[in-house]
Amino acid sequence: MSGPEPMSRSFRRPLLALVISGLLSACGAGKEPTGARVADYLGAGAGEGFARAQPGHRLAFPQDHGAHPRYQSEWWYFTGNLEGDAGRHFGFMFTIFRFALTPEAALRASEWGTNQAWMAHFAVTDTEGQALLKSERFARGGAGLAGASADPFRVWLYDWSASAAGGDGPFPMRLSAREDDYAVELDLSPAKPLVLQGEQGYSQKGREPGNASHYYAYTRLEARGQVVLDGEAHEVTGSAWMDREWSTSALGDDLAGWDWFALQLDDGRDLMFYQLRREDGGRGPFSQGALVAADGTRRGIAPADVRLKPRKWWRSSETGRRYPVSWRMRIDSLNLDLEIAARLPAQEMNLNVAYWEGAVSVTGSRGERGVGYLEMTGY
Amino acid sequence: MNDIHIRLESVTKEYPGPAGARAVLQDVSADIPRGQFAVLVGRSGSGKSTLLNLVGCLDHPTRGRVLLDGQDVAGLSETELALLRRHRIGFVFQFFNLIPTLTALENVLLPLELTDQSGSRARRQAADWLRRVGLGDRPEAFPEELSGGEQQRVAVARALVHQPGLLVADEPTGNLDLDTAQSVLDLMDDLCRREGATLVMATHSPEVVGIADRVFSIRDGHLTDEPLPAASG
Amino acid sequence: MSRLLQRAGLRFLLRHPWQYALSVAGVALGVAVVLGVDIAAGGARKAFDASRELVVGRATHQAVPADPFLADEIYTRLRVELGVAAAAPVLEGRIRAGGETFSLIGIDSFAEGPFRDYLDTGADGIDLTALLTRPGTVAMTRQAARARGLSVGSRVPMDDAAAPTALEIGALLELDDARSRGADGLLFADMAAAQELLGRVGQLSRIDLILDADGEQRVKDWLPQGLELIPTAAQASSLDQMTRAFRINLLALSLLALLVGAFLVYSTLSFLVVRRRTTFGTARSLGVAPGQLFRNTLYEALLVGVPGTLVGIVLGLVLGVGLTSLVLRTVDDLYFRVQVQSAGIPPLSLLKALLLGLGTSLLAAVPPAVEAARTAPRSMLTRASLERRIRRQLPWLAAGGLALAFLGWLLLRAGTDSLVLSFAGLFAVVVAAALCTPPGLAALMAATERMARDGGGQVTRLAARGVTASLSRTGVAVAALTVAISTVVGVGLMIASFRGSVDQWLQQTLTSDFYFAIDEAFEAGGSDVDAFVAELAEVPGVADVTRSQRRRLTTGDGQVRLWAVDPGSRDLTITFLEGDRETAVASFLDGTGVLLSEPFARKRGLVVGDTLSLPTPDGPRSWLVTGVFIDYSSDQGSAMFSLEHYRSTWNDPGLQGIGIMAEEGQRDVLRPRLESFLAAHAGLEFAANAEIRQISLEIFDRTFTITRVLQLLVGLVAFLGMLSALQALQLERIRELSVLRAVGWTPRGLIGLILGQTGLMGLGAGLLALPVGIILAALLVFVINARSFGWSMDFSLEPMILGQALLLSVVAALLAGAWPAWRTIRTATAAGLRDE
Repeated sequence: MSGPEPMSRSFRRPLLALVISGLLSACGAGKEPTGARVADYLGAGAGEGFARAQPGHRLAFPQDHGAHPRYQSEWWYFTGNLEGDAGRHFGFMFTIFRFALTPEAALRASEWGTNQAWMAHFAVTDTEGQALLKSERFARGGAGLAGASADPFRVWLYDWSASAAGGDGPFPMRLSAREDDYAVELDLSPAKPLVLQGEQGYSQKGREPGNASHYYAYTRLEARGQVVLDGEAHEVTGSAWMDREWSTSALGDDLAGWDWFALQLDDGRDLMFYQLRREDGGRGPFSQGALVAADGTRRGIAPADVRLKPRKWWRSSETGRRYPVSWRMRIDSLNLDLEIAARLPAQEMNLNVAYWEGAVSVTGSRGERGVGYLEMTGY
Repeated sequence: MNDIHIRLESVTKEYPGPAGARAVLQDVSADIPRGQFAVLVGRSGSGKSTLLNLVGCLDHPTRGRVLLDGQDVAGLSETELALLRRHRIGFVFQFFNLIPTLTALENVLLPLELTDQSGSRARRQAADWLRRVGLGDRPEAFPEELSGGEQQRVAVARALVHQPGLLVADEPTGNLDLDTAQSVLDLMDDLCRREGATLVMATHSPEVVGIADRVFSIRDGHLTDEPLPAASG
Repeated sequence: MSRLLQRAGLRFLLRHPWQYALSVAGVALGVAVVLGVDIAAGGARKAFDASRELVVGRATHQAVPADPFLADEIYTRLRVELGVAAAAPVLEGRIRAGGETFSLIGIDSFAEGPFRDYLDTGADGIDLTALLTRPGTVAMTRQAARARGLSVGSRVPMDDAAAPTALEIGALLELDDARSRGADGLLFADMAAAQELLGRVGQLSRIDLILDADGEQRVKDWLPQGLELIPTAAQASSLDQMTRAFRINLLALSLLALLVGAFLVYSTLSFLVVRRRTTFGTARSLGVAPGQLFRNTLYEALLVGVPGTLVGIVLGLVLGVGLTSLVLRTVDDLYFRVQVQSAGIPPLSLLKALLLGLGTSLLAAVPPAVEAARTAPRSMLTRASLERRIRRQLPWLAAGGLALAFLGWLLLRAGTDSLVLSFAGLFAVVVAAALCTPPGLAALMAATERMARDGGGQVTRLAARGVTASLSRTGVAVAALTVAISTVVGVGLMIASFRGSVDQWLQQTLTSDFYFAIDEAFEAGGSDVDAFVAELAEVPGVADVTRSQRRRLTTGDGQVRLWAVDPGSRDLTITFLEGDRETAVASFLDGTGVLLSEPFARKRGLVVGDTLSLPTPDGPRSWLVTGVFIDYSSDQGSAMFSLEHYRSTWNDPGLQGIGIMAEEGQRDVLRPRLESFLAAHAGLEFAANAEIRQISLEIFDRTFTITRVLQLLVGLVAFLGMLSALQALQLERIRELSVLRAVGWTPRGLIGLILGQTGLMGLGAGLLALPVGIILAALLVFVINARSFGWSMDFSLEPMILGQALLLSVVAALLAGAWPAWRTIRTATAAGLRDE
């Protein structure tokens, strides 16, 4: 079944609101409005006048690697597990978000004139050092300060960017982000071809037609490059995951948040699954998943087949929220029984909006091993 | 009893003047035993007040010694003299010298307060003394509301309330009519004898001489210890 | 301490309510003036800090162009290529809308966070979407909007834009009072809207940065030529310096008021002590120690000081409101744009006022307290011997005064670089004058007595002798009056000299008949200045056109004002203080030299022959200083170039001023022709020569309003001092006057005697104050003003001011004497013969 993609819902409305409050307070990490949970922002319907995802619309490349400014929100999402010398583990997350503030851009004399707001989140998990380094940035979509182009591929916000490194198409891709005390410089190349999620890249999010996104992914990218921590460069290799999505859509009223898994097993299989959690803790109807085989073929997973159980909880001292940082996932139809555990419990992204996003390790009951990223919101 | 024995030994007091030092007292010696009522007579400017100031520890002699109970006051500092006066000497002046902004009772209370007696006990004591001088019914009167005689009675109460060993009185009746003067004199004499205080008084009034134990006469800075007939103004 | 003695002291004060009230009032006024000025100066500073904070925010550095603007693409490259994380672009300009000129600040709200808080207005605050996406949308503070009856969605027509446009209020900013005061005349807009409104598409005024040492080096190395990286701290301190002289001048005047107030406390307490010599003598004979009397007198000083200070604080708060608007007005006129509103109550100012009031009262009480402690038991000291002692002290007072005057001279000499030292020197001279007043008065009275003897005026003789005989009472009051009158003379002469010089300068400088002032809106409205000038030159009746541009150049050591002038076919109309006119003008024309205004040269210690280095788009360049000229337009001073040279060096084609000389007899017909241009162009203002001169002098007068107000208050305190002293004196003399009445003087005769005496005091104070005032004026003109502002001026000795001061002194003294005289006559009956 095709359905809503959690990332899209998770971020669009709240981040729209928060980008705007970010404009006000900017750089104010950990300033989530008191008492407001992410889902509180999701009540309102999608904006009138914006373009909407249509079933049957065929995605076209390279154009669709670039921005879709008529849609309300869009992102370029990268996560990955990396290994340095002597097997030192690092996780990274790098996402650039785009939000349209109005459906149409006014004609402006000034290049600064824009109706596009951009935001980026960038985090590195230093498993050995037991630390999560994180930051966020905001920029306007004018004056060359942030934007995305399809060919040659480049998406950037100030000096943070993901861009084609000379090949035909977006790959090999160079991912580059630098903060005062940490940085990532990675070359990414696909180990599997592009996957259209949902139904041929159309991912339903709610009951109403058009409440959907366009969604494609590279579920396995080979990564090679450098992670810099406190001025010390570590040569790293590993595997990354890229998600691309754009939409004008909204989550249902009764939803509290979601748990979203992106897992890469050693046997070559990649598993994506998310569940939308209702306020009462139950699973919402538009949860979904997919398995991408080693050869790149995709097959949807019925949510009913997936049984998920939190095993261990961790409480954030910064926000006081409790997150399940260890899970048991059973998918009988795939004969999988997995233990999914956070590499580091403290991977809460306490930025303008607080959520948990972190590297996990995977152990199967039949000897499977793997890595992945887990995103949890609404706790 | 805390009466005081006074002894003057060759006391000279000079004041600086336009034409050099002028001696007001010259080589004066005297001995006044405890509890005596000594009267000092002499013309205006004869040195009476100066002598009283020395006896009352208001001033130091230029030469010679003033001994109170055998202690030479010349060696005492301003503050020590003040303490000595505060505890052991009482004064009555010709112009009463009540503090105009204090009531009769408060004027009497002042010496008690200075000797660290305060509170209701001190107030009772002061009120008692006002009664003894016949003003028990006017404790709240300010000096300007009292007649001269009444003011001097308050002054007497103030001089004796802390039971000094020595009462120094400088023309206490000089500003009073005859009847009033007599009653104030009697009051002082009576009270000093009851309290056993030594009383030294400078006066022009002849009637005082009659009740004094001893009369000193002073002329041109010299002292003679013989009774004289009624002093000339 | 004795409670009974305390009570006695309090009752004594209450029995002399006038005396008590006057000294309380004296302290109160002194404290009020100091507090008022402190609040006003604090208010000015707060408004200034608030505007600065709004504008500069937390930036550590600014990248500023030598050109007026920099290309915005530099900012993009700084962020995207160099990766500087904390950087924010700023575009500033002026815009006229709704009949008012606003400063428009263009910002990128996405980059503002680390720099400025004003957009941080909470979750439900403002709709930035409108600001970002709709052209012509601006934000202002809620207070500013309310004051103008605007709200979100209001449209304000832009006055002189060529195209019919309007500003739309897109958002209101919620700021605290202090910051919103600083922001009243400000409009904020998104960078896109700002570029469009100001006609500056593709341009920025500067880039704000937060950098550490490494970052600073990195940015420095990277910045293209023509851009300079400047630490904001340097700028802040230079802005602070800018108003420092002004604030110190105010402080000095307020301290003078307190000083006179202290005289008043001193004279009251002295009166209290002398009046109670008998009481103290009695107390001493009862065994009260000297230290107790000392403490008792200090306690009584507090009885004056505490209510005086408290009343003073209340008055000061009220005064502060008035003075703040005066000060802010001046700051607004002279330094930078601030909004005139009342300031809050700074707790530190209250504390200062409290300590100053109490401290001054206690200090002023020390001499009387010593006097009280020294009282002999039963006090044999008579009044006459007290006066004898005072008179014996007269030579010492005179000697002390001379010594202090010498000290003042030393301080003034040493304080070439220090305003505080200079003012300390000035104060020393003032106090020296006060010390010299009693001996001076005695001398004057002796002379009067001699003259009266020859002339046979018995009353005059008696009066003169009375003044001398009562010096212990009157000396202090006369000294206070002398100080006050000499301040009147000194400040009056200084202002007159200053105004005269400014007026003369205006006449020499404003030689064109008409002037156009041009602001940013002119170009934004699509007009071209050079074309406009050419058009003007063709207008029938125009003989000549002059052009000028003013521009602030931000450099590493503060801002430099450039003044570029094209004098047309005429000579430069400036007056040179230094340098050979011919050489200077030649170097001005060929661009080899720079002419400096006097304050500029003074502040930087530059003389003819030195070189001045300034940043240009092609890197720093040096010019030879060839002349220094008189200029009162700014105490920051400016550096003058020919317009042609300026344009080729700084690539700035703009103009701020155009002067027009009419042909002989064409003035009146020319005016309407010129005024017709106002409708055709945005951003133009028009004025005739005389109007500018008048406005300039109005601003000048406004600047000195506060000085005059403070001067008045000092005079008032002095008047109270006189009143208090004369009252005390008459109280003591009731007996003497009663005797005079008893021996047959008529009430009229007595009044004549008393008024004669007080009139003589006033005359004496006035006569003594004249030379002191002239000295003060000279010090203010030649020392304080030169050091504060860098202006020299012609000293003019206005006889009017001197005459008025003398009259003021006599009238004040007579007025102060009238009430006590009347009271005395009423009391000086037989009852007065009785001792208290």
